[in-house]
Amino acid sequence: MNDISVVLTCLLAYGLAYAGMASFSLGMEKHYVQARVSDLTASRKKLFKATGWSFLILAVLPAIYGWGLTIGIVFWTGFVSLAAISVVLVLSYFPKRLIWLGGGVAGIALSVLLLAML
Amino acid sequence: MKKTFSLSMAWLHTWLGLYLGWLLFAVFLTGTMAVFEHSITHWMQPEALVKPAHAEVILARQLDIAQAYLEQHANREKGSNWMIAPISDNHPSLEVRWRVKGEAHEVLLNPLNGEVVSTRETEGGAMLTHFHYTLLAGLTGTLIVGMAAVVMLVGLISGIVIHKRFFKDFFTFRRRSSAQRSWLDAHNVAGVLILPFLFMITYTGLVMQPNTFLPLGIKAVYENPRALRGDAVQSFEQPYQAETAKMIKVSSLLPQAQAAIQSVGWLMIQNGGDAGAVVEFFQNLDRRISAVADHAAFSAVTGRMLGVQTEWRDSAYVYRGFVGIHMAMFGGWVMSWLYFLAGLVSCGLIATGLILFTIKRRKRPEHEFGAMSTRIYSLIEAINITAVMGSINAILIYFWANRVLPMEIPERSSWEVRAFLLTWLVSLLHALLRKPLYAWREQLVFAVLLCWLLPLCARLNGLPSLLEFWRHGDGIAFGVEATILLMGLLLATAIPKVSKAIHGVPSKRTAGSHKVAY
Repeated sequence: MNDISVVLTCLLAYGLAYAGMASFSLGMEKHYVQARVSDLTASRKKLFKATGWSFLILAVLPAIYGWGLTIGIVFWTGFVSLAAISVVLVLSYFPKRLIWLGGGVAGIALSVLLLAML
Repeated sequence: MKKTFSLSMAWLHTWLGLYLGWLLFAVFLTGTMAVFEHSITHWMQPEALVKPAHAEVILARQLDIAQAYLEQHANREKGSNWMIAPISDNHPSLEVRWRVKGEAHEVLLNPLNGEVVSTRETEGGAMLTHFHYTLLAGLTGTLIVGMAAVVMLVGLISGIVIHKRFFKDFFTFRRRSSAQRSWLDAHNVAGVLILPFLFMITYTGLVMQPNTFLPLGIKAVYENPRALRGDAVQSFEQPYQAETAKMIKVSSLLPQAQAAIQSVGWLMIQNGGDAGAVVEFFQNLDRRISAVADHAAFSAVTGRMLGVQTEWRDSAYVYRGFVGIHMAMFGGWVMSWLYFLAGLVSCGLIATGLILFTIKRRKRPEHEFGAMSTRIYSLIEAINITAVMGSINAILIYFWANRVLPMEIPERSSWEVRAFLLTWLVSLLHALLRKPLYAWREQLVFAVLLCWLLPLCARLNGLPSLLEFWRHGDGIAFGVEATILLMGLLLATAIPKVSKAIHGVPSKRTAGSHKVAY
C-alpha cells in the first residue's frame, strides 16, 4: 500500500471505531445527559448499544482489507482503544460536540466504505 | 469475605504499585522510545543526514559498495560475521557491521559514492532499548525488570478487582472534580481503555525471554540452550577452509534471493574472503506479526544456492509471535505510532497511580509508618518526582549530551550514558530539597526548556536542526525533533495546573474547604 491509501484505511477504521465508541457512550445515562441534556429512554439505550457494536464490527473490515487478518486485528484493537480515548477527551472537553462529531464521522466513513465496496 | 478480598487487593495494588511503579515508569518510558529506536539513533548522528537521493540508490549498488568496503576493512578469520543493512523503511542509512574479538565495529556508508560517513560516537536509541530490559545492569537488571513485569500483571488484575465500575465508568473523566477524583478517573480510564495493550506488552515482555526467566525447562531438554534456536532456524553454514578465495559480487545473487524470500531486509556474510564463505539474505521483519525472517543462503564464492528456509515450525511461529507483537516491527509507521501512543498512555497510567498515592495521603494522612509517617510520605513524594520527572529529564539530558559533548573526548558515548544516569541523582536531590509541588513545577519547566531549546542548541553547535532536516528532506530526523518539541508542549500544559495547585485555586467541589493538592 502507498502512504495515501494507508492513511485513508486508518482514517476509515478509526472513524468507524470512533462512531461505535461514541454510540456506546450515548447509551449511558450520564454521558447522554452530558452531550444532549435530555432523558434517555430504554429503547434508545438499546439502539445506541446496537449501533455501537455494529460500528465496532464494521471497523474490522478496513483493517483486515488493509493489512490482512492477523495484523489487521492488531490494528483494529489499537484503533478501538484510540477511539475510546478520543471519546473520553471529547466528552470531557466539548461534550456538546460528541454527537455531531460521531454522526459526521460515521456518515463519512460509511459512505467511503460503500464506495470502496462498489 | 468479599469485603476483605477487595480490601486486600487494594492493599496489594497500593503498595506493590508504589514501590515497583517507580521502576515501571522508567521501563515503560524507555520502552516507548524503543519503538523508534532506529529513528532516534539516526537523529543522534546528525552527520549522517540522509537525502531523498540516498533512498533511490538501487539495492544492488548499495550491496556492491558495502561488500567492497567490508572486503577491504573487515577482519578475515574463522567464524567472522559481516553484516550489511541496506536502506529500508525502518533503517535510514546503509550500514555495515563486523566484530573483532567481540568488539563491534559499525560503519555508515554514503550510498552515492561509497565514502565512510564519520559520525559522533553514540549508542543512540539502542541504549534506551537496552535500558528498557536490562537497566544497563546485565542479567540482574533483566531479572529486576522481569519481577517488575510480574508486579505489573498483579497490578492490572488487582486494579480491575478494586475498580468495580469497569463498564459504568468506561468513559468517565471528571477533570473538574476534586483533585483525587480527577486523578483517579484519569488513572482508571487510562488503564481500562488500553487494557489489551497493557496485558499484551507486559505478558509478552516476560515470555519472550524464557532463557532468563525459566531456564530450567529448556535445560531439561537441551544440553546447550542454544540448540533450541538451531531447532527452529535452519543453518546453511559451510566449514571454514582456511584458504583465501575471491568472492563473487553478492548483488548478482539478488534476483535469486528475491525470488526465494520476496523482500531482502539484511545480509550476513560468514567467513568472508574464505573459500567456505557463505552469504545469507534475510527477509524484512515487517511482513507478519511473528518475528521470523525467511532466509536464503548461497556460497559467496561460487554463487551456488545452499538452501532456503521459508517454512517454520508452528512452535517457532508461536514463540516468535510473542517477540514480534512486543517489538512491533510489523504494520509500518502507523503501527509504530499506535504503540508509541499506547506507551505514553501507559506511562500516564503509572504516573497518575504514583501521584494518587500522595494526594490521598496529603488529604487524609493514614499514618502507615507510625511516628515517621510525615517524613516517609515526603520521601515517597520526592521519589515519585524522581521516578517520573527524573526519567523524562534523563532521556532529554541524554539527547542534550549527544549534541553538546565535544566530538574528540575519549569514550564519548559512555559520557552520554553517564549524563543520562546522573540526571536521576540530581533530580532526587532537587526533589528532596524543595517542597513537593515546587519540585514538580521546576522539573517540569526544566523538561519543557530541554525540549524546546534543543534545536537552538544544535544550531549553536553548528549542527543541523528542524529546518535543515526539513530542507534536506530527512523526514526521520525531522520527525524525531518535531516529536520532542510536541512532547515539550504536552509537558508545558501541566505547568499551569501545578501552579494553580500551589496558589490554592479551589476546584468546584472542594471550594473553600482547604488548599487542594495539584
